[in-house]
Amino acid sequence: MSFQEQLAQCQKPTACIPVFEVDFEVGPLGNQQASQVPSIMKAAGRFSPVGLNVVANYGGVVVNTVVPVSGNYFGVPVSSKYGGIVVNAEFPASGHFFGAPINYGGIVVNAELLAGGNAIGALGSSAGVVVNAEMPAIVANAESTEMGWLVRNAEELGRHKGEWLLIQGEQMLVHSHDFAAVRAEVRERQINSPFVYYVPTDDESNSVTI
Amino acid sequence: MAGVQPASEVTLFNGAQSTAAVAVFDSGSLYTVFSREYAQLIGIEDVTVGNRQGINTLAGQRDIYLFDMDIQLRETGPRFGAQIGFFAGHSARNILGRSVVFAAFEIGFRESEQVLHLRSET
Repeated sequence: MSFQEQLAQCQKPTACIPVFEVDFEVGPLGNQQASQVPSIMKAAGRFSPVGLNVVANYGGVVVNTVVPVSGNYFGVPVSSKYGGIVVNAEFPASGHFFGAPINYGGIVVNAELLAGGNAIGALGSSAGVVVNAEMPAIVANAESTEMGWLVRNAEELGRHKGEWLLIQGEQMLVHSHDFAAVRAEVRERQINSPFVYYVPTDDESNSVTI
Repeated sequence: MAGVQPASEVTLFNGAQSTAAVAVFDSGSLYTVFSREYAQLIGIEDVTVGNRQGINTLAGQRDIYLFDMDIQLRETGPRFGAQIGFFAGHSARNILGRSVVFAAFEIGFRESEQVLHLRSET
């Protein structure tokens, strides 16, 4: 289905007007451009939101938009949910964000999504459609080095059942059944925010805890 | 049921002290609760000074002790204030329950791909 056809399907034609026109610039703080009803956000300029949002929900449309985002924020920098459409958009993001850009029937065409910071999300979930989208590193640095180590070494953890692990970077500094040994190492190395993990025993793994 | 559990890396903050941990999402738990040892890592030597709350589990009644502190889910960025509970003893798992995490996020699971969706409700 073409973009024009998608537009033609808008359920509320009277609301399908360009609400943000060419050369529109937004920013830098607290600006929120949200289209929760069928509408068009169209910008040859740049949106620079710190916070939220460029949102095309519920039949909203985002066209030819560049959305550089930096800073910490929740939500979705550009989302296309519930039938929303995003076309020819570029979303370089540096900072933290999470969310699912395309959900519930949302459509993204020719989009480039660059996540330079922490990002978690799922593209094209729940019947969402992604066409010709370039999405390098859409999930980047979502986990710490220590968590990454834990995941990569999950199979090896069986050797440490019932033990506390102190992990720093790519190294397991201590493994011990005695938590005091972990605390002592944390103190000795003056680790500010220690990553400590307990490996459940078989009995603990199979039990209901709460 | 065996298998991978939905979990998140979290950081607990108590003043200037913090510690990272892994906790599982549990919609059956009202509270977000960690094993006692994590309280010690952030300077709480005696968790029983917290606000005691009795909870019923399938293993029987247990007490947890609630503290006001900040928590951060690694994947979601900013930290936020919450009431965090600690068991008086050791617990094999840390639990992200409804009162903190489920209240703050829209959560979805895609078991087939082992994907967890989080979206802020705030």
